[in-house]
Amino acid sequence: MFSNFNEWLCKTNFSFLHGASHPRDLIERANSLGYQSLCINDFDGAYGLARCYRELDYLKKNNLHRGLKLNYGAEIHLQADHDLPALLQDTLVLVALNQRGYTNLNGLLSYAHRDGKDYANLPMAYLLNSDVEGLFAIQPMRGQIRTNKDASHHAELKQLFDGRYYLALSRHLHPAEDRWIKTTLETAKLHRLEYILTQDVFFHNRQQKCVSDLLQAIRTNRVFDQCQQHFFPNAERCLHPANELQRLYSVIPGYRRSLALSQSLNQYCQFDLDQLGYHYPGEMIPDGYDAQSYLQFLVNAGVQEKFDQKPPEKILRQIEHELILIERLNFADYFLTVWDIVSWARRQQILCQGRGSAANSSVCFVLGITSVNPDHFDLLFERFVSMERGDPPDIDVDFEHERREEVIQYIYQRYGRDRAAMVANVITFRGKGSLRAVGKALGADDRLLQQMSKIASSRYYRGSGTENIVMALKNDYEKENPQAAKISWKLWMQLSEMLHGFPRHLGIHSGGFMLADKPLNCLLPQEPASMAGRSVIQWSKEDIEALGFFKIDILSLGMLSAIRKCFDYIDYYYDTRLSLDSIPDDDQSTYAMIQKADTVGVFQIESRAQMSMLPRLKPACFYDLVIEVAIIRPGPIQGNVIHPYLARRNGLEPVTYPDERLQPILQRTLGIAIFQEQAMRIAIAVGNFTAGEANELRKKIGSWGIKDFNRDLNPLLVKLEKGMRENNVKPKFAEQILGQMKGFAEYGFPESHAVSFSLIAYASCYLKCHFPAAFYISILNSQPMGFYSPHALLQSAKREGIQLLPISLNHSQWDHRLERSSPQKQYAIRLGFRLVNGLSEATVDKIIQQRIAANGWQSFEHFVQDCHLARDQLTALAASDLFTEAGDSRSQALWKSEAAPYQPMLDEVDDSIDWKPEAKLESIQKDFRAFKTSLKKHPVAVIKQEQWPYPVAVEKFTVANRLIELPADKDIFAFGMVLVKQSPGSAKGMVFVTLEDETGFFNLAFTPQIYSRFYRLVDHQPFLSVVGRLQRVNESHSILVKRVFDFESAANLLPLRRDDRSIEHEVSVELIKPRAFH
Amino acid sequence: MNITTKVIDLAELRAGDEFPVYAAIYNPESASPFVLSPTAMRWGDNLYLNRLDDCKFFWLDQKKKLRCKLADLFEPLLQHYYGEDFVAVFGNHPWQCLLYLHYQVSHQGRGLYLLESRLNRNIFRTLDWECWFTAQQELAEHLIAANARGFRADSFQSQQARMRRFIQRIGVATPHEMLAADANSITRRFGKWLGLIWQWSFTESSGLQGFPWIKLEQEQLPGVKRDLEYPVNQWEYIEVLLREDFARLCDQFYQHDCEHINRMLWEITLFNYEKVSVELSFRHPYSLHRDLPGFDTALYQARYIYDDLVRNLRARDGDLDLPESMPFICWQVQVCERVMLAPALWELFAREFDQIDYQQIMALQNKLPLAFECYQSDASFFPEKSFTRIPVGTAQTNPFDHYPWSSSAANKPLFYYQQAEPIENPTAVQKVFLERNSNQWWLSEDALQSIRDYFILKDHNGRSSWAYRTQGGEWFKQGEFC
Repeated sequence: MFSNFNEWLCKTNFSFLHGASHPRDLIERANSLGYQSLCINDFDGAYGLARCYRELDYLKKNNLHRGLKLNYGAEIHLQADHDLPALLQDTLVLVALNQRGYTNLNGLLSYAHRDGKDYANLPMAYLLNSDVEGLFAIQPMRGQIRTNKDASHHAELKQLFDGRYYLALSRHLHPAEDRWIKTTLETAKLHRLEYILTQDVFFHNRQQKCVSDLLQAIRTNRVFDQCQQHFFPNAERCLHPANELQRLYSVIPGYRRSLALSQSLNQYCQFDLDQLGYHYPGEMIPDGYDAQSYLQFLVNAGVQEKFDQKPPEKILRQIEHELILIERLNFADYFLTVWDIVSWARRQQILCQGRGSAANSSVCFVLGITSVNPDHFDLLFERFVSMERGDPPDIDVDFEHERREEVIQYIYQRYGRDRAAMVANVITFRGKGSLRAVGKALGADDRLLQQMSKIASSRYYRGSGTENIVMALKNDYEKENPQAAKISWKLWMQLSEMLHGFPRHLGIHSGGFMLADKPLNCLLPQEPASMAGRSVIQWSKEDIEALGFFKIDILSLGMLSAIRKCFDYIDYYYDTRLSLDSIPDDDQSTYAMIQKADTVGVFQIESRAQMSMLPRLKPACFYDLVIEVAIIRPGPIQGNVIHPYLARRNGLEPVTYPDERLQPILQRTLGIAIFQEQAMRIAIAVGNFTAGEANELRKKIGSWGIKDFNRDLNPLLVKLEKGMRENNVKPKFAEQILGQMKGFAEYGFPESHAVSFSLIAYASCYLKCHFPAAFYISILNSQPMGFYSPHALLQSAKREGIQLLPISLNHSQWDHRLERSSPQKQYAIRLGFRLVNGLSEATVDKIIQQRIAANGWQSFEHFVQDCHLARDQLTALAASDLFTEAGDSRSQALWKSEAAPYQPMLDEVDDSIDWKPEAKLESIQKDFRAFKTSLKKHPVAVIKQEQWPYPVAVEKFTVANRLIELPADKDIFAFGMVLVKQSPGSAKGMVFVTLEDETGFFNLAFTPQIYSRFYRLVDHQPFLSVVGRLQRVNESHSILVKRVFDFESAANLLPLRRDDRSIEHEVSVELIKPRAFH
Repeated sequence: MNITTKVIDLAELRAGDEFPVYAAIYNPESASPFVLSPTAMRWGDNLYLNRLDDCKFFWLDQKKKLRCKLADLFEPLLQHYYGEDFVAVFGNHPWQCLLYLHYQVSHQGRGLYLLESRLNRNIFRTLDWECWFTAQQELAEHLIAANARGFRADSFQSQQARMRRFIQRIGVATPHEMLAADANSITRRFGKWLGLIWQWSFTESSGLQGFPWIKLEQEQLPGVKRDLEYPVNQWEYIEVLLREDFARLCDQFYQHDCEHINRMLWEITLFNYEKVSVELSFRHPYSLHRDLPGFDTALYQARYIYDDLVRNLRARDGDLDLPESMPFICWQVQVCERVMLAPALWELFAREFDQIDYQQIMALQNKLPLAFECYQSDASFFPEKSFTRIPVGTAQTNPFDHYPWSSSAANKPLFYYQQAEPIENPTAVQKVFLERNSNQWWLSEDALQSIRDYFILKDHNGRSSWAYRTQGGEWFKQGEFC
């Protein structure tokens, strides 16, 4: 009787900090135990439903399915008692019988979240007046409401659900809970209710009990010993096999009747997620058109406009092919929706451009969504949409990062809050986060947690696994505290690993929007996001893709903001109007600049790795730039294609093809596979893959994380290897392709995406080449963005001969501007107030208004009389040394500013202290703290001249711009300020550091052995002094470090470090903050 | 950098003859605060402040008698009480003494420093901001304890943070560089309290002016000594004499109602001059005053000890040719631990336990040779925590009564082993499953052994025991049913 059990109450770990098992584990176990059905009902949401659906789908596709059916529901709190132990919270489980019921459930869940993400609840009074058709309800054998068997709500709920209201009856081998069985049976008898047997599952097997307890400790923010009342008494809330179920439940009176009820309920549950009908909005379609015909109309108009009424035959054929496919797959309204948004943005002068696989579409090009002209490139539309795959297309559009919010609010306004919502992003416990959470639960004190955090953040231990981090922590801790209390290091480690990947809370996707033609409640619940003015659905990008829903990615790109600003500046300062379309193609001076790797600040090809590649690749045309953008990625790097490609391009190696059949695919890339599309085509040509399988391969490598990598991708890779072997492909090439596939799983570019990015990269290079001053201020005025800090950008500008003018109380604006003393002279950059730490834009507006009225200020007192600023704003100005031009040194101005408010101060000026003049390095250091950079002498030069602390004579050190003259393979000494540190996963433990001195950059490379020896210095020193072997290929260089020098004398020779240490509570100031690139 | 040892003649540190008003004394081991003066304040762990001018004339008199310098007068005394590792700073303001003491401790300084000496003054000027701010950490607590007017910890902290940011921005390495700033300037910029601290720190001859002085009450431990005119070995005689001694001891307490004894030491000298120390301890704080005039409780405990002592001595010395019981020739009774209990506390108890006269029970327990306790079931599903041992009559309604698992405790026996005993082969005529339970798995390294099944095992004699089986199948006996 129990062999085909129906389980009705089951929480996944998407019942955040309650359920202690992944959806996959629950589905797999229920399936393997031969259950007939499993009903997922997470607390207050549908968070885990789509994951469970995907898991069951996986089992079905891989012939592992044993008949398990999934039922869908949710457990809703009846009041905001979430802080109580789970056993005392009053809840009600609602299960969907059909689609109507599912819609009603989503409506109730959305209402439950009316006040925010936390404490979602559905008051009984609201529920009793709600539409619950298609739903049935179960009262769990938990909560305080259950204890009152005479309560009237039983009768009310029975009436509301038209008799479909049941009591849950669970047995967990605990006498206290066993007593509830009696109460439940009495309640059932009293109110003539049926009861159903359920295990009330919170984890899939008993071993997960400790995770369940851990989650409670995290949820209540206490250590284990202090939150035992939140734990389940034992580990019985798991999925049991049939024989155990028999033993547990056959002692319950009327169990046969209850099992029969479960069977029939399961039969009545006719809803599955694949029944959800989904359509895109259609309001942009004018009368007289349907979606397809209107799309056709817009495409025709776009063709005429883009190709000046002479469209090439190839394009017309391609467009026709695409339109047929779009019609067959019924995707026209999706294209129209994206077109509508992009058109609106263009009308608002917001720069935007489609990226990713959408750039493979000619339709997208003529609609103005993407900028990749299909006439110039051989694009693969099937990479974007394919008949065989039938998957929804995914169009990602980049907008200016400073104006993306306008686009988002337009979408809400146009489609309504009930039909538009952002996609969720599930924030999970990972690495340091899970170690920290477990450490806290085990009672580790703040100091120990900070120490752990420091170790885990160290580049040396990053990605090295929980075990290594905990062991390093243990060694440090036991060395420092030999008498300290014993800590369960092993448990810390084990639990952190078990917690890894558990959902922590729901975030918001960076730009994914879901739109529908009907209220989203028909599809899934929504809740208000923590960011004001936004609502979010409860599923992630992967979930909605798996269910075939469309989403549009409204992404932000800092470079688009910078380019738009640059166009405006060029118009204003140089009286020249430029646009993305009017930038000339193939500008040779731009390519000459790129070849010299003068690309600080430009898009994509600015990183250290890209810059070292440029002199070797020497891009001379746009497609070279496309290759450059795509080749420095983990995919091609792991596929070991960079050196063969360079050799072929430079004529050092003949262009050959591993197989004749691959020539058309690899011709443009000299016989080397660089792009995702090529890997797909190779799989079809010589791997015995169908187009559908190749797409499946692409999808897997593109969208699955490392956790799923082995399960999902490996079978396909095995098939590919076998196929290539059968097709007599050279083993070396097969190995290379397989390596590349694994690399793509981390990060690889489709060609269309590389082309899209290259367009922006080229535009930014052109602007930098021809209007460098305008380019630099546009980048600086769009911060934060890009790879380099404002300091690095300004230093680069200075080296390129642009004069920099300091921030000035009487001349600067909020933004950086260009100034010149006469029309004959070149523009100089006047730094803006935006660099000043702690100064708000509103304050600057006030200052500028007053400045106009006062016609500038000649003294501090004059300034404060006019501008009544808050003390922190005034001190921020003083700390930036802005009152020097008004006659007060930084120290004097700070001393005066701290005495704000000013009126009494002006009456009795307190200048009793005779402040010492600042030393050179001290002054630079203060500049950095106050406004992120310094226009004084480069700190490296000052240290070399005045405060050299290293054991090697300063004369031995070379400067960066002399590297070109020095012989390769010789040892050289280098000293500089640390700009960027990188240790890409594909570099096999190598660490790359960029140093800056007064003349340029040093590129340092550390082998794992050298890094492990000196990592404490490399990770923590703002300046590095090294010796290493100079390596050079063409004009690019790097230094393979052999040794890092520590200070010879006391560290106080570098005040920058000493002061950071001595001021404990001050946020530590880093000179340069490296940023991740797009 | 340790200027005191590297640069200057150490004698200079102790030069100066101006009588200091305050001393800050730190000893890493332990410290009795009342060595130099009856007026003291506890500042931190093993760190006390003394106000010396309360006994100024005594010290000046001593100095005059010994014809020595002040440092030479204080240092041997401090060494005698505190050993070699103490740090003591003598000065005219307690805050300055504390600041300088912090400085010396952080620079591994040891010994005595007279702050008003020229050299110490010079060193004092070099102390850095970190020292100045660190010393303020305990100050905030004392200001709260002293109910300092207008002091708020959170705003004080934010003022401190602002001042730290200011000095970092301005790049002033030590307060000395800013000594030209008067306290008013600091107050205006960083608030009243930092201004006051500035004044205490750097203004000559500033009085206490808001410094939170909290006087420490002095402790005295009473004791009595008795030299017997003739050796005694019969309890009847000893009892009479001890009663007299307890009465003398009682007289030494000056707050009879408040002072209670936890422990006394009875040091006995035997007829053969052997010294034996035995302890009279009480389960509950015991008031000699309330036990007047018979001191029955103390005498009961003394009698148990006496019986034990005699028995042990007989066992040890049975083969020697000694009197039947070794006579005592003198003894000393010394209070080791005492506790001050306000009378109000007793009244509170009396009200709460109106029906059962709690004091009588406690007094009875004090008279008994064995503990007198009972058990109460507790709101925990962990067997180890499901019972608490409590004094008789203190059973309360369970505060966690609404938690579902608390009722499960009723199924557990009233006697349980502190350490469960392994059972090799459990043979039982009846085996009743009770419950499945977790243990505190996070206390062991092996989290998977977290589940236990509990059973009642009945043997052939009808005895029931409470036993559990681990996941690994081993059996352990946890308790016995009566």
